[in-house]
Amino acid sequence: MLPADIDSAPALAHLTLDDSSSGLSRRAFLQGALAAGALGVAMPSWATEAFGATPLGPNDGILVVVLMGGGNDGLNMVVPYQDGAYYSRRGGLAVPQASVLPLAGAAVGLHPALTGVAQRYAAGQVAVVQGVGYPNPDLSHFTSMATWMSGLPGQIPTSGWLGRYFDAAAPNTLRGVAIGSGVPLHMNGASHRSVSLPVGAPPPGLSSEDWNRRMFSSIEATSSASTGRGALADAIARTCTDMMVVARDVAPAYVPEPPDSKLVGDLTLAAQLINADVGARVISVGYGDFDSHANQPFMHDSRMQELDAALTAFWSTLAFAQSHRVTVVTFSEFGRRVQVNGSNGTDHGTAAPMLVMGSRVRGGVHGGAPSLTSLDRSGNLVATSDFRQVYAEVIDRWLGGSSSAVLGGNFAHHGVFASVPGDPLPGGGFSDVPAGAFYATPVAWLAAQGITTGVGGSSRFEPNAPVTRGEMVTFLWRFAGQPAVSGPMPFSDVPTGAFYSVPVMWAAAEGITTGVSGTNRFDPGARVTRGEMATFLWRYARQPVPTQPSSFSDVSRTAFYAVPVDFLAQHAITTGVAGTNRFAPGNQVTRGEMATFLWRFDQAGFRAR
Amino acid sequence: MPTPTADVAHLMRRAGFGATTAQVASLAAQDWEDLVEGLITAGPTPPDPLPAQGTSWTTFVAMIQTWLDRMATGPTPLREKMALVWHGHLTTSFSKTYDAEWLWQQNQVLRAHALGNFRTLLHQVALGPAMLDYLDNRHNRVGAPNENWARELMELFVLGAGSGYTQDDVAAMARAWTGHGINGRVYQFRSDRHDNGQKTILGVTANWDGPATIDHLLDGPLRMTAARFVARKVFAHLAHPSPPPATLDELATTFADSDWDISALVRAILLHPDFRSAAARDGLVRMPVEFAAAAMRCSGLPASVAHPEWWLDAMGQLVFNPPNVSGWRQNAYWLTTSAMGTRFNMARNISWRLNDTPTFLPELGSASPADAVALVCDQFEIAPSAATRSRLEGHVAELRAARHGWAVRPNLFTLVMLTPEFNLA
Repeated sequence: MLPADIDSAPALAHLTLDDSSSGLSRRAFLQGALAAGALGVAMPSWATEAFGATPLGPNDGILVVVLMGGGNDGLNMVVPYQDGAYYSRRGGLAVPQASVLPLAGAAVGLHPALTGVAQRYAAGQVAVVQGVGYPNPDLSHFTSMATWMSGLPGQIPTSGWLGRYFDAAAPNTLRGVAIGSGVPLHMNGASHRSVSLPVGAPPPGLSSEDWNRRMFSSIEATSSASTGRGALADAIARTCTDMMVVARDVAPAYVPEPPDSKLVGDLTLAAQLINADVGARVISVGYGDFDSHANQPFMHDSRMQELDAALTAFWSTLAFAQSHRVTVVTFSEFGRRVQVNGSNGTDHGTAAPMLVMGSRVRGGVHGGAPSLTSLDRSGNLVATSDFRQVYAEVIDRWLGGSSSAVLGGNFAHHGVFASVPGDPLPGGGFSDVPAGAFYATPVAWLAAQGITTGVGGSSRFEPNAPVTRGEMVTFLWRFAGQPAVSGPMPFSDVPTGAFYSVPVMWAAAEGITTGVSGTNRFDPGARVTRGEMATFLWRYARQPVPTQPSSFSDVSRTAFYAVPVDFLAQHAITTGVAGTNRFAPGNQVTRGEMATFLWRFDQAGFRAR
Repeated sequence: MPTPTADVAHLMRRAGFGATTAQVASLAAQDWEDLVEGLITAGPTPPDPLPAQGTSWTTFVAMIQTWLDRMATGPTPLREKMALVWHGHLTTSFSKTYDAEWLWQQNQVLRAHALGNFRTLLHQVALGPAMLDYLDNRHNRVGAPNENWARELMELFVLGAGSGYTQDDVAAMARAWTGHGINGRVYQFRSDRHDNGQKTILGVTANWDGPATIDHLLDGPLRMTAARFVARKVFAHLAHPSPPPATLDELATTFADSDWDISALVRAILLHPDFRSAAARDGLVRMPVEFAAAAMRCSGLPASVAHPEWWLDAMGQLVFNPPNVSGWRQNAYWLTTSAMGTRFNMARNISWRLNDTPTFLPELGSASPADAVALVCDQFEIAPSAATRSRLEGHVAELRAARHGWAVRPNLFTLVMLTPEFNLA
């Protein structure tokens, strides 16, 4: 139990439950301002100006927190539809068995609006943690929310759990980002303050006009000398400074402009921030209202629709290359009472499920299902998991922090993460790389190394597609660690700015390609044969002399690729066409084969140059 | 005995939304007690008919503009300030009710009793359609209780979380309020929906009926808990959020002994030495509503031109639409980069308006950097620190040196509204 006067304890000043109101479009007012030109912002000029953002390390996980304010009815989100007690107690509020989206292998199903979540569950990308709550729940919105946000039950909430993680992490203005006008308590630490970003127009702070730039510089300098008016005045000054720093870094994330609707817009912006790699480790969004004391069905249905639409928008906006470092976690301050009340609603409850989503979760249902019949004395569920168990796993595994320092104790993990950023994903996480394929492990390695990011940044690898010469040198260039290169372009048919221009310049400078024989062309769109592939790899390895010729029947000793194929055979980088003694040097190499060659080449120790 | 101008300015900002430099200078001739009394008894209160007819939305916008104009330049600033405090305390929101007229009716109650009796205020708010709808008591019936209003009445409005009542008290309180609902558009009590059984609330068993429980909360075993809880809230908004315990005890006793006379509580706060302490003077950030009202008054722009409704939501404080039943918090709550960005956007929009108004500080263009900054700081009612003054003067000199002299006006207006001094309450 919190102290009697907790409501006005200075600590609670930080308990921002921002943006949990429903219905009112924040943009409804802004439209007036936009129509009057009052924002005066030209988007394109902002987009090109960003600088200074610190990108994340390759293995840094990103957490997106979705706050469902007001007390989400967990029983109607993750429905125990096989339990008769659910139907007898919920009456008309119960989700009919026929509408529930069943979850394979589980005794629970999803609210019918969560079709996108159900699809992701089927793909193994959703972990449901059942019955999560905190000890001695007191059914108050505010003590409950303070507990969830602080991660310290029964204590005065002066800092948030993620904020304390940030206190100990490397400094960066943008590592903690809240979307909306406020910063909720969970994002602020003892010393760390997260920033907040508006939805719609980017924050002010950039201009191409000198007289504007000078004004922004003056605002940025607000904190360089104290007014002597105390800590709050200094905090105002710091906020002015941070606002200018943030504006420069995040501008690219506002192109294209995120949609108007609340959670869909927030999560779209979150995905665009991740794509722009501005350095954010945690992004917090929130919506509501979930406080469904009366006429719950319409209210809760629309919240579930909004959640599903927003998550779908998030995953589809997120670049595939970033997606394997991202996990999304939902929470609410409490679930709702099992028994329907007299107003076709539900009163304040206790435990509820959390959703943990992403390509690296161990999909399925975790934790025990709370009993619908053995309830506490207020008729509420008895929690089966402590919320700090989920927090601990997120901090230790996903964020690489120390949960015992953040939470003041050790809490058993559920094992919701099957792997963490940096670990190879089966098949590289690509939708078209089956687990049993000969190239599955090579592609997983290729993706983990950042050598492939899929076709056009999509979730497809297209293992059977041919490889162009432009793609081939790009793969090799990435394999080499994307070395910098300068100088003139030796080929007439390689435009600057093509994805392969720098790789081609590098390959030419390194003697890996000499272009098309007798010409000054590279022919980037031509397809690579297996013989050419062998040659590229051999030259990458600085043309070692093989100890013996290969025994392939179809490799002529006079062919340009004869020695390169000898080299590949000697190091078991090729074993020829399966079941034959042929190498098929004239066949086009597929992307799956290319991945396999490159993987074996790496294993044979030829990566370093 | 005259009052130092810095004290007058502090009083006018806290017991209102600020005052012009000229007003402050003239009020300084008065004695402190007279200034406080003048604010408490200011009047007459302007009539407050529903600002506009039309759709609920246009009415809603007109309500915001009307109230902000009243805050910025109206004759009863302390009444408007206290009405705002009560609005953030006894919350209802347009997002749930979608009924602008109900919210305005409640606003009339908040304004009428802003400095009246807290007991009366609670009774009237409790039975207003806005609250009956917002916290669902309209659905609360015998045999099918709804706890929403009952819980928040104790937790948020009168006693505070964890202050001595239990979940059993919440359940009993919900039963006591059964039958108090809405018929059409007005309050109605339906005895057939009322639970006439015995209920035990705070240890007293009776056939409790809703309104009587308000008196039980105020007069019963937790009377001083209630007095402390409410006194703390009011002190937090007029002085600063961390009252010394002895001060709080004193104020709570005054409040309870006056039988819940809000003007007695407010008078005690404003006359208390803690109100003029450094902790109080530097202890509050202007809320967005206060920022907007001050920007409007200092620029001379009415709400119909300054459009506070364009910015309040993104600054985090849209009146008639608090984010949740606990209202708004204070200080650091407002200091986020996105909300500050919106303060900038509002300030910038006003600055361009003023730049197009040649009669607004016409002498600025030819003034020296020091004089220009002094003029603008006076106009925007701040006493700049040395750091702020030198930063602003530097900007004026820099613009002129770079041949952007024309930009001194709009930039200086914007910069002054973004200073720490302007953003402190």
